[in-house]
Amino acid sequence: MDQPSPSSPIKLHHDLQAIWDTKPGWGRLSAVNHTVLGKRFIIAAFVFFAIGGVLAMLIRAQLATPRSAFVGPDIYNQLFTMHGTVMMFLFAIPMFEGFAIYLLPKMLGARDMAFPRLTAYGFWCYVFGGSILIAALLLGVAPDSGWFMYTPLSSSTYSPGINADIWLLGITFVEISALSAAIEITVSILKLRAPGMSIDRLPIMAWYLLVTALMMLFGFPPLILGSILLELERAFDLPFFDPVRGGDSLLWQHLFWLFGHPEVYIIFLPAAGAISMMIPTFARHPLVGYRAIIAAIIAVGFLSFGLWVHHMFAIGIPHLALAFFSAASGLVAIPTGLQIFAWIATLASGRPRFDVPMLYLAGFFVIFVIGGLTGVMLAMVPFNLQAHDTHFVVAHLHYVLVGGFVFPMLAAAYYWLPHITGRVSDHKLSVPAFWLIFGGFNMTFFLMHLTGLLGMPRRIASYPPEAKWEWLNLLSSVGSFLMAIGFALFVVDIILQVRFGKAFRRNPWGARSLEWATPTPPPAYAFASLPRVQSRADWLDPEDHAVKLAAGRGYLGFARYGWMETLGVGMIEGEPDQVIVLPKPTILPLWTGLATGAIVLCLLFKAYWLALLPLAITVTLLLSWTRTTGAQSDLGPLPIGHGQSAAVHWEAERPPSWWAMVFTLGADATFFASLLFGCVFLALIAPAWPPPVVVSPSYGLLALAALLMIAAAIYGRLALRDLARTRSPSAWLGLCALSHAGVCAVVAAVIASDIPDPTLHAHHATLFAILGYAFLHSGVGCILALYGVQRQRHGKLSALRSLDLRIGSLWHDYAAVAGVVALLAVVALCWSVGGRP
Amino acid sequence: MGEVASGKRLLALAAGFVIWSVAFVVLYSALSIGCRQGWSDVHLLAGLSLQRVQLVALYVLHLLAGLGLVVFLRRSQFTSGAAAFLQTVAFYAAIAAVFSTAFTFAGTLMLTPC
Ligand code: HEM
Ligand SMILES: [Cu+2]
Repeated sequence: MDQPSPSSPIKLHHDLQAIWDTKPGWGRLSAVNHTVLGKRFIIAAFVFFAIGGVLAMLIRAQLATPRSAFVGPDIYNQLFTMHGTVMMFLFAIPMFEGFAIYLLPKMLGARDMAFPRLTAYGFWCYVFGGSILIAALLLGVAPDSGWFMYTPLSSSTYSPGINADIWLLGITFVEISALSAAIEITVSILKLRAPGMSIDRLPIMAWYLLVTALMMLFGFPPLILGSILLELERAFDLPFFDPVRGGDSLLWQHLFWLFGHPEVYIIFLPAAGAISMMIPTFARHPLVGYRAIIAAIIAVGFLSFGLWVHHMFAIGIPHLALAFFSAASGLVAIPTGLQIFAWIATLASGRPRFDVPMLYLAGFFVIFVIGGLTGVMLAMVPFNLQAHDTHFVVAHLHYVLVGGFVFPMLAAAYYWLPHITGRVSDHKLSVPAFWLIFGGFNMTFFLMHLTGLLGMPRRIASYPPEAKWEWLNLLSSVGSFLMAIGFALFVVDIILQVRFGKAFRRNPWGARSLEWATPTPPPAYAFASLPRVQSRADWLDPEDHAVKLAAGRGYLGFARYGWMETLGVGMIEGEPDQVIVLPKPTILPLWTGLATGAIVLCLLFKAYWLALLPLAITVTLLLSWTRTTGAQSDLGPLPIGHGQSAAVHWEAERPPSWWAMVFTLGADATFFASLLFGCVFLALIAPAWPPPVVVSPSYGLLALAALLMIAAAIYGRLALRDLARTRSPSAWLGLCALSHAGVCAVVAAVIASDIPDPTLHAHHATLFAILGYAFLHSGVGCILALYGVQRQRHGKLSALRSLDLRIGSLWHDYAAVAGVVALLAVVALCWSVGGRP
Repeated sequence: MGEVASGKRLLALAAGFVIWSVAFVVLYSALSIGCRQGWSDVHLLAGLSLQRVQLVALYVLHLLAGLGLVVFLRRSQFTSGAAAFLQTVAFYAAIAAVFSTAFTFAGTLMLTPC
């Protein structure tokens, strides 16, 4: 196959544009491009920020005076719950996702993210899930048990309405988008880079986002598990959190904070990544301590999983365990401090230039350091017990979140807006906006330290005048309105820049990273050809690259077969090992998102059987995504320019989708481990054990299920072996599907015969959950095996094109291992309460 | 380099803190089990309780594992390039992890266990 001949830059631009552009009008709904979707994520997240901000204003209006008659306690509960929920789940996480989606490919020298349709699907899940929450708010049935939804307050006894269900289902829906973004970000950083960008040349932002995405993969599953268990309890009365029947409300707290504290760093690290990109530009000096910073981020990533109990110091666990969590909480300040010192060192070694983004970074600096200090105070158990659940905590968490996320994001907005719009502004409003936000913020929240120390609890709708907090609260509320005016000014400033800013040629800040080598505003394909990187990718010469790349003198500087192509590289050495052909714009992600939303709505309105219909539609739609992928004949290596060639990704050894499955299974395993932790926790710690009736499982059936699970995995591998020998794998795949179906049938039989009433006691409910997990995995395995048969029938498989079966085989293997562990766990849990054979 | 081999080399970055995480899970569980079984009332020699002895043993064990990793990563096999870079970062991370292990669980040495 020949390499298409080079063409003029203008022609190349037109050719690529014809292939990559999103169609106008209704075609916008089928967008999958990272530039388009990144912007949409950012705008949607900002809208949710505004909603959360309005809620905050209502909260402050209520607290401005004692005995306020503005809203009653019921509404107030909804206000602060929704404020916290919106800010954490619908603003902070999606905002960073938007930044990552927009910037990452450009910083890495790729043309898009690894799974564009997944980006689109994630976007729709986010918007639909968020809309459900906001609709509930407008209808007055919003969640009202606080953003961490503690049981038993959120259990059906004390929250009988739909409010809590909206939180549990809506947030889980939004989490789909967070998890898919995490997988996509991880794989994109590891595989989709410019040639020559070896792992030691990644721009520092990529390291930050890599660690963040991995933290999401391990942090979100506990929350999703917790939400599912609580929803099962609310909907079907399975007593996971009910202390009368062997449940324990502390299990919820563990699962929530196992997610909740890492979440704080998941929000902070991307912001720190943005800071690490901006500081070198303004210091005109490369980032100091690149390697030490990476080690520090890794340390933060791990340590932040070892301190969740600092949110639960008051629950009464052994002193020594408190000491562990307290020590880890204090320790995490060290790697964070190291980054701050690296930024100072960068500024000190360079010739700093002051500009608007730096002003906002200065604001970050002051506020975040104060928040860090109060954090260390709260990490100390004796102080914590005094300040627990007071406004001191509210002050601390806002210093960290607003300082650590909002201010850096404001700086980033000013820094990267010229990239998005191709315009620069004169920043007349940016400076007064800053002072209003900064001043207003400190006035609002510094005073909360004082009200907190004076004993004002959080989450109270009114307080008596005798409490002597009125002046502080009034001033705090005035401050919050000043801050709101500042944000309004910021919005006006941005609109003015977008509408009336002056156009510029390229790279207004003199930045040294690859995103500034694209034309601005960027075309859908980002780079007309892909660069070869010779130095660290946050200290290169974008101008020089830009000219060569636009002229098509890099890699893939041509349009071939109407394909959207980018390069995949070896993870460490960064040499091209595949041509990744990305999917065309399609409306399927929107339909799939709608179908998923329909499932959520069915569950919300308790139409459980009806939910199976949208579930089937969702699965069918997801499978139909693959109709356009792959090919019916072997292509062999394709030229990629500069005399090199590489295989197309579905013929490559380790394409992005293979890695995506590996990381998906990693998240899945975390989910499973959390489930097992929960079961053991209840059996060991919860009151009301042992159960009144002990399950004695049908060992014969369990053994049969285990055999079938292992058989399915073996058949999956045999199919792959036959395909490699150019024989049809269909028969093996059929057996694989049958074995999985057999597992489902046997497990269902075990549930029916041994656990007739899972509502009886947590013992029964936990066994039910574990068996359900095994059932689901074989169900999915069955679908994947049948999907393999279908691919074979369509001629999409060959010895070279075995990707679909290799991905399937990963699943079958995992299902076997996890399934056998699940069955053993069932037996062990029965024995532990005396149910011996 | 094969992609799976690359993957392993990347995992080395996390090795140090994986030991810290294991130490966390093991010590927290051992502590809970010991308190439940009343091991702090089982006295061994010199006034030391069974609870104290097992916790300190586990503490030291994980410290040694971490130190072993540090020593292993110090013997650099690469002089330049991406592999050497990864090894250096893994080495830094391992040192940080040993320090974290020592600090986080130092309480096992002197605090009341239950
Ligand atoms: C923009 C200005 C903001 C103001 C004036 C504000 C104000 C407040 C106030 C007064 C509370 C305490 C309510 C109570 O306990 O009675 C609160 C709670 C909270 N805020 Fe904010 N906030 C702001 C921004 C943010 C941001 C940006 C985030 C996160 C990224 C955030 C996250 C939270 C959370 C998680 C809670 C706890 C909610 C709960 O107790 O369930 N806030 N906020
Ligand atoms: Cu925390």
